[in-house]
Amino acid sequence: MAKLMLVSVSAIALLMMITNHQAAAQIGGRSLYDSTMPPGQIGHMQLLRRTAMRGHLQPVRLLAPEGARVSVFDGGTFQDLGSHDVTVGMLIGSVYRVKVTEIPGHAGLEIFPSVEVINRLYPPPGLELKFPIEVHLDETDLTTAGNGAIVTRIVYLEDPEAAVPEQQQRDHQPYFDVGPGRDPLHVAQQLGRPMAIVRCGGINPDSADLHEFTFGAPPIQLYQLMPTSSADDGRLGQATLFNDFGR
Amino acid sequence: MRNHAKKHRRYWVKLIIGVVVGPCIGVQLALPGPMHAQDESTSLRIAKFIELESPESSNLTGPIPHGPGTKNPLMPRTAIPAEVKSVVTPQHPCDTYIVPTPSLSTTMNLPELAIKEPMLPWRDEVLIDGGDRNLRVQVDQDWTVNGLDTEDTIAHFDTYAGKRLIQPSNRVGIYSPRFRAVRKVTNLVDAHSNMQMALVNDQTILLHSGSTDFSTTTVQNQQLQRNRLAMSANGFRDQTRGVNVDNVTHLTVFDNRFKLYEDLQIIRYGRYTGSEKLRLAEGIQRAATWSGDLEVLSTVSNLRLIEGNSVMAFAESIGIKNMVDKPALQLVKIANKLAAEVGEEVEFTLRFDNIGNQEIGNVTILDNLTGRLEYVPGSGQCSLDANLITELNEVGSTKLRWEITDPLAVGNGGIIRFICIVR
Repeated sequence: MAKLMLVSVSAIALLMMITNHQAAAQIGGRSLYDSTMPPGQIGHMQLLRRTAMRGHLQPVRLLAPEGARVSVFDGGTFQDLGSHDVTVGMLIGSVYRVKVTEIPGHAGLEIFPSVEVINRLYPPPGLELKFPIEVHLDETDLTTAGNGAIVTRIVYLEDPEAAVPEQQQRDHQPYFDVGPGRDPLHVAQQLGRPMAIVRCGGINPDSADLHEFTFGAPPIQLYQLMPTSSADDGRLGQATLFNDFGR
Repeated sequence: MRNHAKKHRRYWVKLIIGVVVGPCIGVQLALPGPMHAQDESTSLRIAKFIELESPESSNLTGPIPHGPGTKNPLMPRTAIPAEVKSVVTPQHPCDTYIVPTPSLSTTMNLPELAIKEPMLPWRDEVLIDGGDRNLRVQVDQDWTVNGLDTEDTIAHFDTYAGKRLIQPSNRVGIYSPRFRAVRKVTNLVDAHSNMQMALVNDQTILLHSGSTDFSTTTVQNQQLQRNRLAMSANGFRDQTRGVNVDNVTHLTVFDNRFKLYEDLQIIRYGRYTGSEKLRLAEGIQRAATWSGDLEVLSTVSNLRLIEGNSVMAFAESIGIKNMVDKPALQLVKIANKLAAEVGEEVEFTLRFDNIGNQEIGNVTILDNLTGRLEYVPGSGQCSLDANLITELNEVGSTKLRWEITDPLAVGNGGIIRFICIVR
């Protein structure tokens, strides 16, 4: 009888230990965000958490392969900015549809990636345009999307204390792929501060409503950069606006 | 019989408490989570501190000993008494010269629940060099330096009283954010296509195959006309110096002209004047004062923006107390740039002065560069006679060590310059 009670008590104790251990594992929590969320949702949740980001125009540098052309949706149409390297101001939490055409070696290929800015930078005054968020629309991403795959690229700000000690080129953004079962947003979160989400997929404007396709056409700021006046302190010359909101 | 039953009951109660409650408490105590993670990091720090304190670990790493009482040929020193009586843990310089900013490395403990946000949101956008973060630097009797983290810049020196004191510099911030990317490629899985082979009709008849090869090249053996003999070395002289030293440079050239960004009383003469406070603050912590002047606070119906200006500022301040009967070294660091892109060069200047009331010796200045700063070889300068020792540090950058050859008299000082490339 005593042995039976001892066995039963031990079994109960073991069960409670296992239950507690599972509860302990859950205390670590799971992320509120993941990269499979609909475009714009993460940005909106960021705005709920940090109201200071509302209305902030974050300069973003869009860099496509050399020779390609980048267009942004403004004034009811895609405006060709005439270059593969453009800097625009984007609102945090909004999703912008971008058009990349004339990709060298891929005649006729048109890709429409979406860019969602989810965080902001705090540069010294006057240097906002010199230090934008770097969003590279890599040729590999564009051609992979052209072949029918969906490419999700999380751009993150590297933690300087854990930075990779290697020289980085300004026109090349190092990246790596995560495998199945891993969320790139979570991985980026471990390595630094996620700043933007780029989604490239096989979608074209003919198959959907243009308003929906451009995520409601949020306002975008176009900059016209003057030549650099002095490289002494790294400040850019005066930046002028040639197209304001909806003007 | 009743007593026996009571004992029996007590035995089972104890058993249940011991077997059921005990492990549960144990598991609860071992729960991972933010609070426990903090405790763990604290205990790790303590463990690291204890480890550094142990004599075994002290002997394993560290620079070549130099100064009085050693036989280091690099640094014969005479002005300081040969017996260093004791290693005194110095007062932290934060109490005397430099009032640092609130902890810059603190981050919110929300990494798993939301997008990571540092407590000071620009902290991860700035490369910081200087100061003494995390564990305070300590120098053992054999000149082994413990607790020198990356970004740290400190000077240590000896006094006639046998004390070894440590003085960190102020921190210099350079705005230089760097981006990388994580990518995931997802292929569509709902596009299935079944194709069936309907007919294969392929008839190939081999009619004729003929091939004739003619020789086109002949090989002729030629006799050697001359014999060239390579002589091997018949003697080898090997000189091996200290194993921890990567590169020792005796600095001989110093540019006597002051740079434009160095035009400050504290850099030129080692004197701090209140009128230069703002300029100095800009030099030592240029990236520290920001304004969110691009923030749009509201949008009105005619689509014009109303801009608001919110200023969030912090800066390090420098104050000098009256040092009576105290040896003291002042170490000020400035940079020539407010911000730098990847690949740009940044020049740092360190001004050190003996502001105490007695001569000090074995003045050694250490700068452990962060991983994103690459020291430009040959760019180190010192206005006084000094040896510069460079060695690879733990984050793939360089640890710079200037050993000032001669003792530093009261009121004397010097300037160190070096250039780094932002990675």
